[in-house]
Amino acid sequence: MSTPQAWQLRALCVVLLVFAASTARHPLEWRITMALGALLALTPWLIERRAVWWFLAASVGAAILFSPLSAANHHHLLLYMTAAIALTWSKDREHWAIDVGRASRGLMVGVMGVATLQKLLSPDFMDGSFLTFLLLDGGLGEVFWEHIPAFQGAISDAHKFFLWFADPIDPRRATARAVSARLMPVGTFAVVLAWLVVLGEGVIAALFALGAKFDRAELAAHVALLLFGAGLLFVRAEHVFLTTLLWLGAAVCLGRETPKLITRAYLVLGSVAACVALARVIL
Amino acid sequence: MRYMLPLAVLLVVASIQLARVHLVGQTRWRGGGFGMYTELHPNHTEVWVYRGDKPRQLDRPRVPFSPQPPPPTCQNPSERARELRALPTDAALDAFWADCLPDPTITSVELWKRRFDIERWAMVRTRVRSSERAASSSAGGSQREEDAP
Repeated sequence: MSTPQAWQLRALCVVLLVFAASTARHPLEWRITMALGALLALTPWLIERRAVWWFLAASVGAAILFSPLSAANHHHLLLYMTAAIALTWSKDREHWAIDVGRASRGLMVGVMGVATLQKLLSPDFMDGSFLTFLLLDGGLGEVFWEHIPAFQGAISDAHKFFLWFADPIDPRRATARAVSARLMPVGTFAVVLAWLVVLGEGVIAALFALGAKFDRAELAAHVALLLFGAGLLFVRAEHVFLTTLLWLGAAVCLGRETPKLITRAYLVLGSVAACVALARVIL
Repeated sequence: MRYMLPLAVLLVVASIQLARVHLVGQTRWRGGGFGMYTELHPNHTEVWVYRGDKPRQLDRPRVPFSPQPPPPTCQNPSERARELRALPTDAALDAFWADCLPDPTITSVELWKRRFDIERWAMVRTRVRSSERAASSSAGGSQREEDAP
Protein backbone atom coordinates (compact mmCIF):
# COMPACT_ATOMS: atom_id res chain seq x y z
CA MET A 1 0.00 0.00 0.00
CA SER A 2 2.95 2.35 -0.34
CA THR A 3 3.13 2.19 -4.14
CA PRO A 4 2.97 5.44 -6.16
CA GLN A 5 -0.46 4.31 -7.40
CA ALA A 6 -1.81 3.97 -3.85
CA TRP A 7 -0.48 7.40 -2.87
CA GLN A 8 -2.03 8.88 -6.01
CA LEU A 9 -5.43 7.41 -5.05
CA ARG A 10 -5.10 8.75 -1.50
CA ALA A 11 -4.27 12.18 -2.90
CA LEU A 12 -7.47 12.07 -4.99
CA CYS A 13 -9.46 11.25 -1.83
CA VAL A 14 -8.00 14.40 -0.27
CA VAL A 15 -8.95 16.42 -3.38
CA LEU A 16 -12.51 15.05 -3.07
CA LEU A 17 -12.61 16.07 0.60
CA VAL A 18 -11.53 19.62 -0.33
CA PHE A 19 -14.21 19.57 -3.04
CA ALA A 20 -16.95 18.47 -0.61
CA ALA A 21 -15.88 21.07 1.94
CA SER A 22 -15.81 23.90 -0.61
CA THR A 23 -19.12 23.22 -2.35
CA ALA A 24 -21.53 25.03 -0.04
CA ARG A 25 -24.43 25.24 -2.49
CA HIS A 26 -25.02 21.47 -2.65
CA PRO A 27 -27.33 19.80 -0.09
CA LEU A 28 -25.70 18.97 3.22
CA GLU A 29 -26.68 15.30 2.81
CA TRP A 30 -24.77 15.10 -0.45
CA ARG A 31 -21.71 16.81 1.05
CA ILE A 32 -21.67 14.41 4.00
CA THR A 33 -22.05 11.37 1.71
CA MET A 34 -19.28 12.63 -0.56
CA ALA A 35 -16.94 13.40 2.34
CA LEU A 36 -17.66 10.07 4.08
CA GLY A 37 -17.11 8.21 0.82
CA ALA A 38 -13.74 9.93 0.29
CA LEU A 39 -12.72 9.34 3.92
CA LEU A 40 -13.67 5.65 3.82
CA ALA A 41 -11.89 5.27 0.48
CA LEU A 42 -8.68 6.27 2.27
CA THR A 43 -8.77 3.07 4.32
CA PRO A 44 -6.63 0.11 3.17
CA TRP A 45 -9.75 -2.10 2.89
CA LEU A 46 -11.62 0.12 0.45
CA ILE A 47 -9.01 2.04 -1.54
CA GLU A 48 -8.25 -1.09 -3.59
CA ARG A 49 -11.88 -1.74 -4.54
CA ARG A 50 -13.16 -0.73 -7.95
CA ALA A 51 -16.74 -0.24 -6.69
CA VAL A 52 -15.53 2.58 -4.40
CA TRP A 53 -14.35 4.57 -7.41
CA TRP A 54 -17.61 3.98 -9.25
CA PHE A 55 -19.45 5.19 -6.14
CA LEU A 56 -17.32 8.37 -5.97
CA ALA A 57 -17.78 8.97 -9.71
CA ALA A 58 -21.56 8.51 -9.32
CA SER A 59 -21.61 10.97 -6.38
CA VAL A 60 -19.86 13.67 -8.39
CA GLY A 61 -22.07 12.89 -11.39
CA ALA A 62 -25.20 13.25 -9.23
CA ALA A 63 -24.11 16.75 -8.19
CA ILE A 64 -23.79 17.71 -11.86
CA LEU A 65 -27.12 16.12 -12.82
CA PHE A 66 -29.06 17.72 -9.96
CA SER A 67 -27.88 21.17 -10.90
CA PRO A 68 -26.14 21.28 -14.29
CA LEU A 69 -26.07 25.08 -14.50
CA SER A 70 -24.50 25.42 -11.06
CA ALA A 71 -21.83 22.75 -11.45
CA ALA A 72 -18.37 24.24 -11.85
CA ASN A 73 -15.76 22.91 -14.25
CA HIS A 74 -13.91 21.06 -11.50
CA HIS A 75 -17.11 19.01 -10.93
CA HIS A 76 -16.77 17.73 -14.49
CA LEU A 77 -13.03 17.18 -14.20
CA LEU A 78 -13.44 15.19 -10.97
CA LEU A 79 -16.13 13.07 -12.63
CA TYR A 80 -13.81 12.24 -15.53
CA MET A 81 -10.92 11.48 -13.17
CA THR A 82 -12.83 9.16 -10.83
CA ALA A 83 -14.52 7.46 -13.81
CA ALA A 84 -11.10 6.99 -15.48
CA ILE A 85 -9.80 5.19 -12.37
CA ALA A 86 -12.84 2.89 -12.24
CA LEU A 87 -12.83 2.25 -16.00
CA THR A 88 -9.16 1.29 -16.21
CA TRP A 89 -9.16 -0.74 -12.96
CA SER A 90 -7.05 -3.90 -13.23
CA LYS A 91 -5.52 -6.39 -10.81
CA ASP A 92 -2.28 -5.98 -12.71
CA ARG A 93 -1.13 -2.85 -10.90
CA GLU A 94 1.61 -1.97 -13.40
CA HIS A 95 -0.83 -2.19 -16.29
CA TRP A 96 -3.42 -0.17 -14.40
CA ALA A 97 -0.88 2.58 -13.59
CA ILE A 98 0.01 2.90 -17.28
CA ASP A 99 -3.67 3.14 -18.26
CA VAL A 100 -4.50 5.76 -15.59
CA GLY A 101 -1.44 7.74 -16.69
CA ARG A 102 -2.67 7.62 -20.30
CA ALA A 103 -6.23 8.61 -19.33
CA SER A 104 -4.87 11.51 -17.27
CA ARG A 105 -2.70 12.67 -20.14
CA GLY A 106 -5.70 12.61 -22.47
CA LEU A 107 -7.78 14.59 -19.98
CA MET A 108 -5.01 17.13 -19.47
CA VAL A 109 -4.66 17.67 -23.23
CA GLY A 110 -8.45 17.94 -23.50
CA VAL A 111 -8.86 20.40 -20.63
CA MET A 112 -6.03 22.71 -21.68
CA GLY A 113 -6.93 22.43 -25.39
CA VAL A 114 -10.61 23.23 -24.84
CA ALA A 115 -9.72 26.07 -22.42
CA THR A 116 -7.46 27.56 -25.11
CA LEU A 117 -10.22 27.29 -27.72
CA GLN A 118 -12.75 28.93 -25.37
CA LYS A 119 -10.42 31.88 -24.83
CA LEU A 120 -9.72 32.25 -28.55
CA LEU A 121 -13.49 32.31 -29.22
CA SER A 122 -14.25 34.87 -26.50
CA PRO A 123 -14.03 38.47 -27.78
CA ASP A 124 -14.06 39.83 -24.21
CA PHE A 125 -11.01 37.75 -23.33
CA MET A 126 -8.99 38.33 -26.49
CA ASP A 127 -9.38 42.12 -26.55
CA GLY A 128 -8.29 42.31 -22.88
CA SER A 129 -11.65 43.56 -21.56
CA PHE A 130 -12.16 40.70 -19.13
CA LEU A 131 -8.63 40.67 -17.74
CA THR A 132 -8.68 44.47 -17.35
CA PHE A 133 -11.79 44.08 -15.19
CA LEU A 134 -10.19 41.25 -13.22
CA LEU A 135 -7.01 43.28 -12.63
CA LEU A 136 -8.82 46.48 -11.67
CA ASP A 137 -11.25 44.59 -9.47
CA GLY A 138 -8.31 43.06 -7.57
CA GLY A 139 -9.26 39.49 -8.59
CA LEU A 140 -5.81 38.85 -10.03
CA GLY A 141 -2.71 39.24 -7.89
CA GLU A 142 -4.66 40.59 -4.93
CA VAL A 143 -1.79 39.61 -2.61
CA PHE A 144 0.59 41.88 -4.52
CA TRP A 145 -1.72 44.85 -4.97
CA GLU A 146 -2.44 44.99 -1.28
CA HIS A 147 1.25 45.41 -0.44
CA ILE A 148 2.28 47.95 -3.07
CA PRO A 149 0.97 51.39 -1.98
CA ALA A 150 1.08 52.87 -5.52
CA PHE A 151 -1.18 50.09 -6.85
CA GLN A 152 -3.29 49.73 -3.73
CA GLY A 153 -4.86 53.19 -4.16
CA ALA A 154 -5.63 52.67 -7.85
CA ILE A 155 -7.12 49.19 -7.34
CA SER A 156 -9.11 50.36 -4.35
CA ASP A 157 -10.54 53.28 -6.39
CA ALA A 158 -11.43 50.96 -9.29
CA HIS A 159 -12.99 48.42 -6.93
CA LYS A 160 -15.17 51.12 -5.35
CA PHE A 161 -16.13 52.28 -8.83
CA PHE A 162 -17.29 48.77 -9.81
CA LEU A 163 -19.26 48.42 -6.59
CA TRP A 164 -20.87 51.77 -7.24
CA PHE A 165 -21.74 50.74 -10.79
CA ALA A 166 -23.28 47.55 -9.41
CA ASP A 167 -25.47 49.56 -7.05
CA PRO A 168 -29.13 49.61 -7.94
CA ILE A 169 -29.18 52.37 -10.52
CA ASP A 170 -31.86 51.93 -13.18
CA PRO A 171 -29.91 50.46 -16.12
CA ARG A 172 -32.23 52.25 -18.59
CA ARG A 173 -30.77 55.51 -17.29
CA ALA A 174 -27.13 54.46 -16.73
CA THR A 175 -25.81 52.09 -19.36
CA ALA A 176 -22.16 53.14 -19.24
CA ARG A 177 -19.67 54.78 -16.88
CA ALA A 178 -16.14 55.73 -17.95
CA VAL A 179 -13.28 54.50 -15.77
CA SER A 180 -10.46 56.86 -14.80
CA ALA A 181 -8.07 57.37 -17.75
CA ARG A 182 -5.02 57.12 -15.49
CA LEU A 183 -5.68 53.36 -15.19
CA MET A 184 -5.31 52.78 -18.95
CA PRO A 185 -1.84 51.16 -18.67
CA VAL A 186 -3.61 48.28 -16.90
CA GLY A 187 -5.53 47.70 -20.16
CA THR A 188 -2.30 47.43 -22.17
CA PHE A 189 -0.91 44.94 -19.64
CA ALA A 190 -4.19 42.97 -19.76
CA VAL A 191 -3.95 42.55 -23.57
CA VAL A 192 -0.40 41.20 -23.26
CA LEU A 193 -1.47 38.94 -20.38
CA ALA A 194 -4.42 37.60 -22.41
CA TRP A 195 -2.11 36.47 -25.20
CA LEU A 196 0.37 35.02 -22.69
CA VAL A 197 -2.39 32.97 -21.05
CA VAL A 198 -3.71 31.66 -24.39
CA LEU A 199 -0.23 30.77 -25.60
CA GLY A 200 0.66 29.22 -22.23
CA GLU A 201 -2.43 26.98 -22.14
CA GLY A 202 -1.98 25.99 -25.79
CA VAL A 203 1.69 25.14 -25.22
CA ILE A 204 0.87 23.05 -22.13
CA ALA A 205 -1.73 21.06 -24.12
CA ALA A 206 0.75 20.50 -26.95
CA LEU A 207 3.60 19.52 -24.61
CA PHE A 208 1.48 16.96 -22.76
CA ALA A 209 0.39 15.48 -26.12
CA LEU A 210 4.00 15.30 -27.31
CA GLY A 211 5.11 13.96 -23.91
CA ALA A 212 3.57 10.59 -24.78
CA LYS A 213 6.44 10.09 -27.25
CA PHE A 214 9.22 12.41 -26.12
CA ASP A 215 10.69 12.53 -22.60
CA ARG A 216 11.92 16.11 -22.92
CA ALA A 217 8.48 17.35 -23.94
CA GLU A 218 7.06 15.45 -20.95
CA LEU A 219 9.45 17.17 -18.57
CA ALA A 220 8.76 20.59 -20.12
CA ALA A 221 5.00 19.93 -19.86
CA HIS A 222 5.21 19.27 -16.11
CA VAL A 223 7.40 22.34 -15.52
CA ALA A 224 5.02 24.52 -17.56
CA LEU A 225 1.96 23.16 -15.70
CA LEU A 226 3.60 23.77 -12.32
CA LEU A 227 4.44 27.37 -13.31
CA PHE A 228 0.88 27.85 -14.60
CA GLY A 229 -0.44 26.39 -11.34
CA ALA A 230 1.74 28.72 -9.28
CA GLY A 231 0.22 31.62 -11.27
CA LEU A 232 -3.33 30.37 -10.63
CA LEU A 233 -2.64 30.58 -6.89
CA PHE A 234 -2.97 34.34 -7.31
CA VAL A 235 -6.38 34.22 -9.00
CA ARG A 236 -9.30 34.72 -6.64
CA ALA A 237 -11.48 31.64 -5.99
CA GLU A 238 -9.63 29.30 -8.30
CA HIS A 239 -8.07 26.98 -5.74
CA VAL A 240 -10.37 23.92 -5.87
CA PHE A 241 -9.94 23.74 -9.65
CA LEU A 242 -6.19 24.17 -9.20
CA THR A 243 -6.02 21.32 -6.65
CA THR A 244 -7.87 19.11 -9.14
CA LEU A 245 -5.68 20.13 -12.08
CA LEU A 246 -2.46 19.49 -10.14
CA TRP A 247 -3.67 16.01 -9.14
CA LEU A 248 -4.27 15.34 -12.85
CA GLY A 249 -0.75 16.55 -13.69
CA ALA A 250 0.75 14.24 -11.06
CA ALA A 251 -1.37 11.31 -12.34
CA VAL A 252 0.22 11.70 -15.81
CA CYS A 253 3.48 10.58 -14.14
CA LEU A 254 1.97 7.16 -13.28
CA GLY A 255 3.56 4.33 -15.21
CA ARG A 256 6.40 6.60 -16.43
CA GLU A 257 9.88 7.43 -15.22
CA THR A 258 9.54 10.96 -13.87
CA PRO A 259 12.11 12.88 -11.75
CA LYS A 260 11.15 12.80 -8.07
CA LEU A 261 11.51 16.59 -7.95
CA ILE A 262 8.47 16.91 -10.25
CA THR A 263 6.24 14.68 -8.12
CA ARG A 264 7.38 16.50 -4.98
CA ALA A 265 6.64 19.87 -6.61
CA TYR A 266 3.09 18.62 -7.42
CA LEU A 267 2.69 17.51 -3.81
CA VAL A 268 3.86 20.85 -2.38
CA LEU A 269 1.90 23.06 -4.78
CA GLY A 270 -1.20 20.85 -4.53
CA SER A 271 -1.04 20.99 -0.73
CA VAL A 272 -0.74 24.79 -0.80
CA ALA A 273 -3.75 25.05 -3.16
CA ALA A 274 -5.79 22.64 -0.98
CA CYS A 275 -4.91 24.59 2.19
CA VAL A 276 -5.86 27.92 0.56
CA ALA A 277 -9.16 26.40 -0.65
CA LEU A 278 -9.96 25.10 2.84
CA ALA A 279 -8.85 28.37 4.46
CA ARG A 280 -11.35 30.24 2.27
CA VAL A 281 -14.10 27.97 3.63
CA ILE A 282 -13.05 28.14 7.27
CA LEU A 283 -11.92 31.78 7.58
CA MET B 1 -8.68 1.80 -25.24
CA ARG B 2 -10.93 2.26 -22.19
CA TYR B 3 -8.60 5.00 -21.00
CA MET B 4 -9.70 7.19 -23.94
CA LEU B 5 -13.38 7.16 -22.91
CA PRO B 6 -13.17 10.02 -20.32
CA LEU B 7 -11.46 12.23 -22.91
CA ALA B 8 -14.16 11.39 -25.47
CA VAL B 9 -16.89 12.35 -22.97
CA LEU B 10 -15.03 15.57 -22.10
CA LEU B 11 -14.86 16.56 -25.77
CA VAL B 12 -18.54 15.77 -26.39
CA VAL B 13 -19.68 17.75 -23.31
CA ALA B 14 -17.41 20.69 -24.18
CA SER B 15 -18.70 20.72 -27.79
CA ILE B 16 -22.30 20.79 -26.60
CA GLN B 17 -21.48 23.61 -24.17
CA LEU B 18 -19.71 25.64 -26.88
CA ALA B 19 -22.69 25.23 -29.19
CA ARG B 20 -25.06 26.39 -26.43
CA VAL B 21 -22.84 29.42 -25.70
CA HIS B 22 -23.16 30.52 -29.32
CA LEU B 23 -26.74 29.42 -30.02
CA VAL B 24 -28.67 30.25 -26.84
CA GLY B 25 -26.33 32.59 -24.95
CA GLN B 26 -25.35 30.22 -22.12
CA THR B 27 -22.50 31.49 -19.96
CA ARG B 28 -19.05 30.10 -20.74
CA TRP B 29 -18.49 29.52 -17.01
CA ARG B 30 -20.95 26.63 -16.72
CA GLY B 31 -21.69 23.40 -18.54
CA GLY B 32 -18.32 21.63 -18.53
CA GLY B 33 -16.73 23.59 -21.37
CA PHE B 34 -13.77 24.91 -19.33
CA GLY B 35 -14.57 28.48 -20.38
CA MET B 36 -14.17 30.02 -16.92
CA TYR B 37 -12.28 33.31 -16.79
CA THR B 38 -13.09 34.16 -20.40
CA GLU B 39 -15.89 36.63 -19.65
CA LEU B 40 -17.52 38.20 -16.59
CA HIS B 41 -19.09 35.69 -14.20
CA PRO B 42 -22.89 35.25 -14.58
CA ASN B 43 -23.27 36.78 -11.10
CA HIS B 44 -22.69 40.08 -12.92
CA THR B 45 -25.91 39.61 -14.89
CA GLU B 46 -28.56 41.86 -13.34
CA VAL B 47 -32.22 40.95 -12.98
CA TRP B 48 -34.42 44.07 -12.94
CA VAL B 49 -38.08 44.09 -12.02
CA TYR B 50 -40.24 47.04 -13.10
CA ARG B 51 -43.59 48.14 -11.78
CA GLY B 52 -44.49 50.70 -14.41
CA ASP B 53 -41.35 52.81 -14.52
CA LYS B 54 -40.31 51.99 -10.95
CA PRO B 55 -37.26 49.72 -11.08
CA ARG B 56 -35.85 47.33 -8.53
CA GLN B 57 -32.81 45.10 -8.92
CA LEU B 58 -32.99 41.63 -7.42
CA ASP B 59 -30.02 40.92 -5.18
CA ARG B 60 -27.05 39.50 -6.97
CA PRO B 61 -26.81 36.14 -5.18
CA ARG B 62 -30.41 35.57 -4.18
CA VAL B 63 -34.00 36.58 -4.67
CA PRO B 64 -35.18 38.29 -1.49
CA PHE B 65 -38.64 37.16 -0.47
CA SER B 66 -38.59 38.59 3.03
CA PRO B 67 -40.97 39.18 4.69
CA GLN B 68 -43.01 36.79 2.50
CA PRO B 69 -41.85 33.18 2.08
CA PRO B 70 -40.99 32.12 -1.47
CA PRO B 71 -44.01 30.87 -3.43
CA PRO B 72 -44.48 27.09 -3.62
CA THR B 73 -43.59 27.17 -7.32
CA CYS B 74 -40.14 28.54 -6.45
CA GLN B 75 -38.79 26.50 -3.55
CA ASN B 76 -35.14 27.36 -4.18
CA PRO B 77 -35.14 30.97 -5.38
CA SER B 78 -31.34 31.39 -5.19
CA GLU B 79 -30.83 28.39 -7.42
CA ARG B 80 -33.50 29.57 -9.87
CA ALA B 81 -31.85 33.01 -10.10
CA ARG B 82 -28.44 31.40 -10.58
CA GLU B 83 -29.80 29.21 -13.38
CA LEU B 84 -31.47 32.20 -15.05
CA ARG B 85 -28.19 34.13 -15.00
CA ALA B 86 -26.29 31.14 -16.40
CA LEU B 87 -28.82 30.49 -19.18
CA PRO B 88 -30.68 33.76 -19.88
CA THR B 89 -33.15 32.66 -22.55
CA ASP B 90 -36.61 34.16 -23.14
CA ALA B 91 -38.23 30.93 -21.95
CA ALA B 92 -36.10 30.85 -18.78
CA LEU B 93 -36.97 34.49 -18.03
CA ASP B 94 -40.71 33.86 -18.51
CA ALA B 95 -40.56 30.73 -16.36
CA PHE B 96 -38.66 32.58 -13.62
CA TRP B 97 -41.20 35.38 -13.63
CA ALA B 98 -44.18 32.99 -13.56
CA ASP B 99 -42.74 30.79 -10.80
CA CYS B 100 -40.81 33.18 -8.58
CA LEU B 101 -42.34 36.66 -9.01
CA PRO B 102 -46.08 36.26 -8.40
CA ASP B 103 -46.63 40.00 -7.75
CA PRO B 104 -49.37 41.06 -10.25
CA THR B 105 -48.17 44.70 -10.31
CA ILE B 106 -44.92 43.77 -12.07
CA THR B 107 -45.04 45.00 -15.65
CA SER B 108 -41.60 44.08 -16.91
CA VAL B 109 -38.62 41.89 -16.02
CA GLU B 110 -35.29 42.56 -17.72
CA LEU B 111 -31.86 40.95 -17.77
CA TRP B 112 -28.84 43.23 -18.19
CA LYS B 113 -25.30 41.96 -18.69
CA ARG B 114 -22.50 43.95 -17.20
CA ARG B 115 -19.09 44.00 -18.88
CA PHE B 116 -15.96 46.05 -19.11
CA ASP B 117 -15.48 47.57 -22.59
CA ILE B 118 -11.79 48.19 -23.19
CA GLU B 119 -12.48 50.19 -26.39
CA ARG B 120 -14.66 52.71 -24.55
CA TRP B 121 -12.66 52.29 -21.33
CA ALA B 122 -15.93 52.04 -19.46
CA MET B 123 -18.19 49.67 -17.58
CA VAL B 124 -21.26 49.06 -19.71
CA ARG B 125 -24.63 47.38 -19.30
CA THR B 126 -26.44 45.72 -22.18
CA ARG B 127 -30.02 44.47 -22.03
CA VAL B 128 -29.97 40.83 -23.13
CA ARG B 129 -33.56 39.79 -22.41
CA SER B 130 -36.80 41.46 -21.45
CA SER B 131 -40.33 40.31 -20.89
CA GLU B 132 -43.37 42.58 -20.56
CA ARG B 133 -46.88 42.11 -19.31
CA ALA B 134 -49.79 44.45 -18.56
CA ALA B 135 -50.20 45.00 -14.81
CA SER B 136 -53.25 43.33 -13.32
CA SER B 137 -55.95 45.91 -12.53
CA SER B 138 -57.12 43.84 -9.57
CA ALA B 139 -53.77 44.15 -7.83
CA GLY B 140 -54.98 46.81 -5.42
CA GLY B 141 -51.49 47.94 -4.48
CA SER B 142 -48.17 46.18 -4.55
CA GLN B 143 -47.45 43.28 -2.23
CA ARG B 144 -43.79 44.24 -2.29
CA GLU B 145 -43.95 48.00 -2.12
CA GLU B 146 -41.65 47.90 0.91
CA ASP B 147 -38.88 46.47 -1.29
CA ALA B 148 -38.99 49.22 -3.89
CA PRO B 149 -35.99 51.57 -4.01
